Amino acid sequence: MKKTVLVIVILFFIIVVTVLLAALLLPSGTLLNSNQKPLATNDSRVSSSSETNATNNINQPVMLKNISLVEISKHNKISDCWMSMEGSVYDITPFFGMHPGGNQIMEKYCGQDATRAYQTQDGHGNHSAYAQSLLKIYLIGLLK
Amino acid sequence: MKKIRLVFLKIVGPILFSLLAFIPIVFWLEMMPIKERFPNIITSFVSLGQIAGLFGLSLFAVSLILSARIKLYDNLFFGINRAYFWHRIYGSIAFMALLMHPLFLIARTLPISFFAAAKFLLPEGALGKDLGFYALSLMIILLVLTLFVSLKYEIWKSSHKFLGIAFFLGGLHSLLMYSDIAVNPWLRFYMIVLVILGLVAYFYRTILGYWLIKKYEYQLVEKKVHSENVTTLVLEATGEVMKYVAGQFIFIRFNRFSLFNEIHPFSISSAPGQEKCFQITVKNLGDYTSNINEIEIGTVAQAEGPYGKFSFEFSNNKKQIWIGGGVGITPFMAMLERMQKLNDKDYEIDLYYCTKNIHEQPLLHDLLEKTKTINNFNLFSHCSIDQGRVTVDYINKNSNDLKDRDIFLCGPAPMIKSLKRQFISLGLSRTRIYSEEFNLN
Repeated sequence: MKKTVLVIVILFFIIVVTVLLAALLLPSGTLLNSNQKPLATNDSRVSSSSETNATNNINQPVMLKNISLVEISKHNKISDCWMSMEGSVYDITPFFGMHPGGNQIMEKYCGQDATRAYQTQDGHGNHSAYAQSLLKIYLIGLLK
Repeated sequence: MKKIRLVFLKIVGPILFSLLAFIPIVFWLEMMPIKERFPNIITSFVSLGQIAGLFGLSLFAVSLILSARIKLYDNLFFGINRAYFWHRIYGSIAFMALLMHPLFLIARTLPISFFAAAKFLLPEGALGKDLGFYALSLMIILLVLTLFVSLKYEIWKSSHKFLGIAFFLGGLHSLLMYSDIAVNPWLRFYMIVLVILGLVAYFYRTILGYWLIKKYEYQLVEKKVHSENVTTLVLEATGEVMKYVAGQFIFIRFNRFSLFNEIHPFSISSAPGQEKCFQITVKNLGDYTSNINEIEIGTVAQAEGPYGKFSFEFSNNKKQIWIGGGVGITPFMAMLERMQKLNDKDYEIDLYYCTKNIHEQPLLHDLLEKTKTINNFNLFSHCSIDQGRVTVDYINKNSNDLKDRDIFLCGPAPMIKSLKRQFISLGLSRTRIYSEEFNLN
């Protein structure tokens, strides 16, 4: 058991040091290229322009379009979920299965404005700076 | 029937306590279809990270609950030393799971950037998340010290105590994060109860125990020096007398003695029935025990216990082999004395006293004297410097009907492990082997 613990401790430090070094040397580098980014849970979803944008890296310029609440409301299910937060519109379909609070939390805001829910974590507090950086990769436009 | 009962006694504790740690996983799995938890590589890693965190924290709580050292564990685990064995197993698995928790969760940041990954691993001003960072950092420091640095018992014990703080921070982290625990009220309730139980156990052992744990007050009345390294201390009750079975052990603290005034485990080396007295035999192992000769007659001590199920009296089989390695002979001293008093002619016992050389067997003469009055009792002295390490082959050559006997082993962990393996490969059932390691750390 002691040996197994030692192996895991060493592995832990190797990964942590590698990540920290990579961040120092290649701060904007990623491990997965854009084609391998978070995949949709339902591959059959069809949302042409948004899909292209949703998989864009935050470090690359993105052509943002103005999107109305009416248009957002059409994308109201797990397999095709848009929502607006703080004036920006996100296609968070690929994020299903990854939210620490579970899918149900996000599902109910599909097709709606989720600014309040996002800011207050449904009354639980604030999202971290990390969560905010994560959100950027799902940005597809600005609220009209 | 007796065999089934013994197997049950040995597994009931581990099963019950393992269940406590697995229940949160069941809640977690019930919350969402498994397909949604593992639809692609990144999400699967995130899910593994969540399980690792949940399971790690639950096991950490279970490990703390076990460290409370209450009498109930002596029965649930068939000896409190086996409860400590499981405490170590649960603690080690919890540590590994909690190390994997952030590593798996880094997967979330992979599509963003290495900078985001580094930010995720370090504190960033968000209380809930940062508490996790501080809890794990403290845990790494303390457990690396515990597991891989050979510390003196007193320093080890003091540093080990701070793990309760790491647990408290980790518990807060789990409850403050917006996670599955926040979403599912049942899981939240269960985790709150488990964390509180862990903290109660921690406070019971570290602080409240001072008032709550029953202790017997004894006084040192005699010192018998057997050799430069081995001394027997005779202790007499100043108040209530502690009842015990030959072979059990106690935790004892001597007042105004030892830098840390810490409590230490020792086997009782005398049989019950000596009015108000019992003895412990201490070998100088270079740590706390090196000061034992300096202790003065009249020193008051608090004894906690007795603990353990290591006694020939807990076995129905009267044909037995006893093997004591080094200072592991002490519980057998008590058992031998008990045999003298019992005068039961049905017993057939062979005792092996194993050390490196004959100079490390200062108790041999005393033991020989006692065996003279007991029928069917043989004493073998084994010195590894002349005869090599003691093996089951060696025992088989000296003792008849080995396969019909119950085995009692006490001594250093490597000796016990090796002999156990050899006995099992000879065809002896595990339930027939009773063992006690001289290691409660």
